[in-house]
Amino acid sequence: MINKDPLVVRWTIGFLRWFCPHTLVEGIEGDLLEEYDDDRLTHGQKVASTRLLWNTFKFFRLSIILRNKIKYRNNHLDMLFSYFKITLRNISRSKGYSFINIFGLSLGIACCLLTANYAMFEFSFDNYHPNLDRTYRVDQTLIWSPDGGTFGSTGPALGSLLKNDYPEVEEIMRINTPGDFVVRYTEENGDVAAFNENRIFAADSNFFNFFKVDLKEGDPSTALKGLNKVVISDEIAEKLFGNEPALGKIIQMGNDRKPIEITGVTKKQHENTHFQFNYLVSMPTNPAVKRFEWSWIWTQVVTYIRLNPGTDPRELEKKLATVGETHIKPSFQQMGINYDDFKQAKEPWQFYLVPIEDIHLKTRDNRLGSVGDVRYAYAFAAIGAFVLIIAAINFVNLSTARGTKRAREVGVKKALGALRNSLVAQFQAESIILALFSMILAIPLMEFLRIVIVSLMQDDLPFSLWSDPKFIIALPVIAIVVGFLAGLYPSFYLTSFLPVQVLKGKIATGMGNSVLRNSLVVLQFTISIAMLIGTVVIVQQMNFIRSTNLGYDKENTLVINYAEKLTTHIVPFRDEVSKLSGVISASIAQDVPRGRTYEDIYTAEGSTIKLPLTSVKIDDHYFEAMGFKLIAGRHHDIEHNAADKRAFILNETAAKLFGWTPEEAIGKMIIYPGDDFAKSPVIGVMKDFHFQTMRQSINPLAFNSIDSEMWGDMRVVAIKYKTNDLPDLVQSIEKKWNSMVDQTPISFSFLEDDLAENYKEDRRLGDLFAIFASLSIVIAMIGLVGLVAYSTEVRKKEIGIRKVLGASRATILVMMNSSYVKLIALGLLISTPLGWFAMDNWLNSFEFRVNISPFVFVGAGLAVMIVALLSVAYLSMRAASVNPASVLKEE
Amino acid sequence: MTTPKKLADFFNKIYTNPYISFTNYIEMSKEFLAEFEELVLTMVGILREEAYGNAIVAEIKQRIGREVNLSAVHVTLYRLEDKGYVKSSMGGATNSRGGRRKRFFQVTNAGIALLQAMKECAHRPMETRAST
Repeated sequence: MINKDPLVVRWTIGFLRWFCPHTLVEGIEGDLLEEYDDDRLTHGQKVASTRLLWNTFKFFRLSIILRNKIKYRNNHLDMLFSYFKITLRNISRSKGYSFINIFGLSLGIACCLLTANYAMFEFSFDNYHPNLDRTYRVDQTLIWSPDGGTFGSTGPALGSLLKNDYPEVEEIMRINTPGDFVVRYTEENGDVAAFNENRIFAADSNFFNFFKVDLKEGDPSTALKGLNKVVISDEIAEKLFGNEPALGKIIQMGNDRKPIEITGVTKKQHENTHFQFNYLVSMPTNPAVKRFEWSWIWTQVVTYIRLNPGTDPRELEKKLATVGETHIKPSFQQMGINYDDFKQAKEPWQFYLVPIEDIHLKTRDNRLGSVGDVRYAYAFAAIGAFVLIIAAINFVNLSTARGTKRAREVGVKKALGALRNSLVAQFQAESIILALFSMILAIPLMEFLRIVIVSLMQDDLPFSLWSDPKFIIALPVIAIVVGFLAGLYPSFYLTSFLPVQVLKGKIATGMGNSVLRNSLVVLQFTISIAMLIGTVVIVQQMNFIRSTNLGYDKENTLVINYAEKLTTHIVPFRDEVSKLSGVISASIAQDVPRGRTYEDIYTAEGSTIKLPLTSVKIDDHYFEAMGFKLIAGRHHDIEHNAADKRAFILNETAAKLFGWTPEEAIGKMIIYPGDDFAKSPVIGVMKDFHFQTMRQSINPLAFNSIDSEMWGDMRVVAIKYKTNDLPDLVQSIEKKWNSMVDQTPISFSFLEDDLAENYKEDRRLGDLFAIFASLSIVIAMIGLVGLVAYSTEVRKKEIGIRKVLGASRATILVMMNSSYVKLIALGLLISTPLGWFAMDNWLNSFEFRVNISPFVFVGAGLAVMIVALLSVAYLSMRAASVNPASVLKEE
Repeated sequence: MTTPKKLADFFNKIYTNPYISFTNYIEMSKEFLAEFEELVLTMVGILREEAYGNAIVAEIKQRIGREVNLSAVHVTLYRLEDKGYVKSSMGGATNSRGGRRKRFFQVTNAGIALLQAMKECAHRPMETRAST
């Protein structure tokens, strides 16, 4: 009938059918058509069609369109409430299991959050600066080492060249490191406050175009323009001036007490940046930069560039490959150095553009601060994920193990007509709700863990969950995902029961599908044991480093840093200090062997060997104070023999690389090319000692005299002491210092602490490994206890029958424990190669390392096993000593 | 409903005014219908077995001379059905209306009770005035 109607009617009805809910459409359609028929008879076809269209259109409203859909959603919400209610009932019905589930999972989530937070912090470095996508640091070939590699410092000449000759470069900015200074401030009452200050940088005036450092006081566009201006950090401003405004105040920097005006104070600087500064002076304030403006080898600045939009950095890198021939070579000729000689046996002089985001994790060198290690960032993220996996496994295992308890519920529900989908939904909802509870509990736990970690490592974790709003939003999402994944298997397993069998009591073992559960337990123990192995190996290596004989006496050595500030008083200071009671010996040197090195290329008379040699200036008492051993010749004796001023003492390695035995070396002449002072005789050869970190092999080293004309103005006073009252000694040394210099604070450290500083990152890795390994073991044990508690419950009758039939308590104990002991052994078997591979890899970053002994694996496995046995001892004892009558009487 | 009711009882206790009943106020607010809903409900009652969309439109026009739109009547009927004052069922097949069946509406007991309650309420103020 409808086919005979005009097109407009058919279309209108079609439209109605499209939007109108199925249940309503017939009644409405009929009413509309009836009216249309009436209208056609009374008003004619045209009016009727118009009215039909209009009337139909009036039905197009929310109360019709959404009618049944909203009702449907209401039902769904009711179901959710019902899931919630049932979950709460289940939790309160079996409090023990629920506690294990929730607490274990929240421990896992807390660990995961903490490590994820750390990893996110590591990856967030320098990702907030303006025009990030076209801002780069210019690195170059490491020209100071024949080994090659790249480093992040460049000569000042590079910046000017890039700015003037390369149109694709929009802007350049250089940061120079003038070193540490004494900063003095004269207060209104005339008192002078003096501080040894570090992290002092000099920057071009467009610094603030490159880095997002906000100023609390001062104008970023002018703050670094002109001579003797400085921008200071908020902490320094507070230290110097308290709460007074710092802008416009004058401070004195350095030994010459140059007055410098404060033109800006930063807000609190970002933690996730490759450098933070205390003082940022304007570039002209350090005249050295101007003096070396032409230089390519005064590599004391970091050059940053911003390219024009659309420039390919790789193209520019290619263009820069020719700079060596076109610009550096002529500059070398002016200095009188042969460029090709200099370049001999080194990698070609290249420049590389490094995105500033990558400096922290993807480069190995940062002149302005430290760098992180991308492997450590990944390692921590992985550790967190592993702990979470262990916790989630508990969840899966306990849920499936408790299958019997729930099986009857499932059976009854199915028999009453519940669909499998809705049962799956119920179990999933339960698991997600539990995960959400865990998440709520995880947040205080995480903060607690953080306090524990911070106090254990005595090192602040420089990040906070609460600083990133994205993370807070992500929290419930993480909980839901974890809950969903962990609930996936239990929900499908538990709902697969056939009601008939369940209600007949067929699925009684409940330990069914133990293959999956057992493999998950094995995975848990594999991870825990591997982490334990990692911890042990790191601890062993750190102990090895601490206990290795470095070749000299590092104990009881006090180092007075920045002793060059004593100027001419340094010798009297040394002599006065050595007279103090408790001081065995005091000596002046350029530095003590604590990881810092200054290499240069030397050659020997009549030899073609060019050797990168680290030279350190020392005085006559250095050998005595530090306990170095000579194996040939003698040490410097300037007091009696002025010619020793030029003399060298080589280490064994240097002598060997020059091709000499220690005895042959005495009397040989060392030449420093590119310098015009006379040849230096070798007067002694010393036994090799570790002057760099254990990551490096022992490199060639030379000692020359403190009075030599060689480069190197830095001085330390090394003091070997033996006293029971160290504070008193330090005080008297400080008194001596203050009597010799005016308004200059003393700065000292202990050699052992300085050495330990070199392994800070490794120690941190070890500490974190230890913490997370123990947490993972705790979580795995919680799960194990849950499983054993369950299996003793299920096997109660079996045990009773066994006892009736004559089994002893010991046999029962063995039976109860053997099952998971086997699993732990399997876990050990799997984790051994994994742990060995990973830790051997790490150890390879050390030149001097321990070998992993097989006892590490045996020990880790045994430790985990003992902990496991102890954890379940009470449960298995109780099960084994049960009175058969009490468990068997019921049937 | 329990809590407002309890609240109302509480107010009744401490504020004993014979003219004002909080309980009534609360219940009335629930039970009263909008003017148009009341009209449609009444028409369903009047039309008895013949109450379907078009018939109601026609009845309203005939009785009070008001032109109402079919869609408004339908939506109101569904709302009344949600509230439980009417129930609906499909009629037999027809020859007119392109063969579509009619959806007939019927007043439920709750609907009848409501119509009576509303009638009483409309009269009550006058009764109270008369009794004083």
